[in-house]
Amino acid sequence: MRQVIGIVLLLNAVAVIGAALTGNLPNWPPAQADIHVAEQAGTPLIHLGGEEAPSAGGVISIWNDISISNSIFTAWLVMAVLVVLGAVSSRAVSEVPGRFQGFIELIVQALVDFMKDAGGPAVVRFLPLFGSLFLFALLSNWLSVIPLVGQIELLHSPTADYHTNLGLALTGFVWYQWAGIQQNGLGYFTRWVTFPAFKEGPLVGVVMLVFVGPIEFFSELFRILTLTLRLWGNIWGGEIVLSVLSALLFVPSFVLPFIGLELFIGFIQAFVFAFLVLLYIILALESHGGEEHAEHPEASRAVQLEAAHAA
Amino acid sequence: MSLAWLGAGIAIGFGALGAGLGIGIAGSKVAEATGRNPDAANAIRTNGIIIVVFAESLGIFSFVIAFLLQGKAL
Repeated sequence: MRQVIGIVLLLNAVAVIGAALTGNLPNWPPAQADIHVAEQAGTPLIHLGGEEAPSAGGVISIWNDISISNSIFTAWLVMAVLVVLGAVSSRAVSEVPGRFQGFIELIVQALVDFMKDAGGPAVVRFLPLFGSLFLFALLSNWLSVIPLVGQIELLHSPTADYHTNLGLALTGFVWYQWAGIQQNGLGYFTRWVTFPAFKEGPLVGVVMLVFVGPIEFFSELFRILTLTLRLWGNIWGGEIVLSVLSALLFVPSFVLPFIGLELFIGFIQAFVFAFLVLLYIILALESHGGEEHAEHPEASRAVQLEAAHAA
Repeated sequence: MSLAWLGAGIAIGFGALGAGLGIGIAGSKVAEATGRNPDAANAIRTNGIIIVVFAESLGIFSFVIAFLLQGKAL
């Protein structure tokens, strides 16, 4: 470990001294124009139709500018990696796993175990959604720390473009609403308008319906916004931090600890994105009808009985 | 024009202050709970990450607001 650090520092010294001797030293402190900050959205590469956007990375322009952007291109790259991995690993499955199959099984098993811990065996059927959201977001986040990604026009991390995140969030949103409707039927919609647990006093039900119902409904819609912006803000902010710090720190490899930090943040954010979608699925699957209300007094009576026994 | 820059600075400053306070309080309680019951460390860590993320998303919102204001100032 000490030798590795020594070699890295030596290479830095060679690079800086070499740049100084040949007169190629960058300006320090850097001017704002020298720092190339990543765009907040992808830039169009191939224009397909509609009006061309006046400038890259403007307001959400889904409808008036239809084009293939660089983040769509990298999203295809990530999808190709995942699809090839899935196809190769599931083609020749053997009883005794080799090294590659063992690695894939380790990932899938970890995901399944995590889902079982979070929501019981009933939610394991959502593994395709959970696993793909997690793996896609993870690979896209880790793509953003590679040098030149976000700096040149062809490459831009998919999750550093809020359109991709909006797509992922909408997928999760539609999926968990559909799962809730399938599980609970029309009773699913009562989750926004009735709160049986609070119907204790006179008019409490009406007050809850009028005041808390709309808040619940809008917090449901805000889940899309928070899912989108949390992932995008973290990854795009991380790209900016990396480019600003590598301009400020002057010595090339001093930015390596921040790359480690960004790898960690990328993992945490991908995990959080997939886990929040899983959590919303679990919440949607839970019955909001009358059964839960009927169960509660019994449970509390059982607790009271136990307490009386103990006393 | 320059007031938008000022507003961007205030937005990200106070937003980061609140999110940082929230994450600090939640993190200290997570450490306390892990110390009190080390067997449940995994469950506590998972819940802690989820709780911290909700505070963090408010900070991200202020980042977005600051960014929008900064775009207005240009």
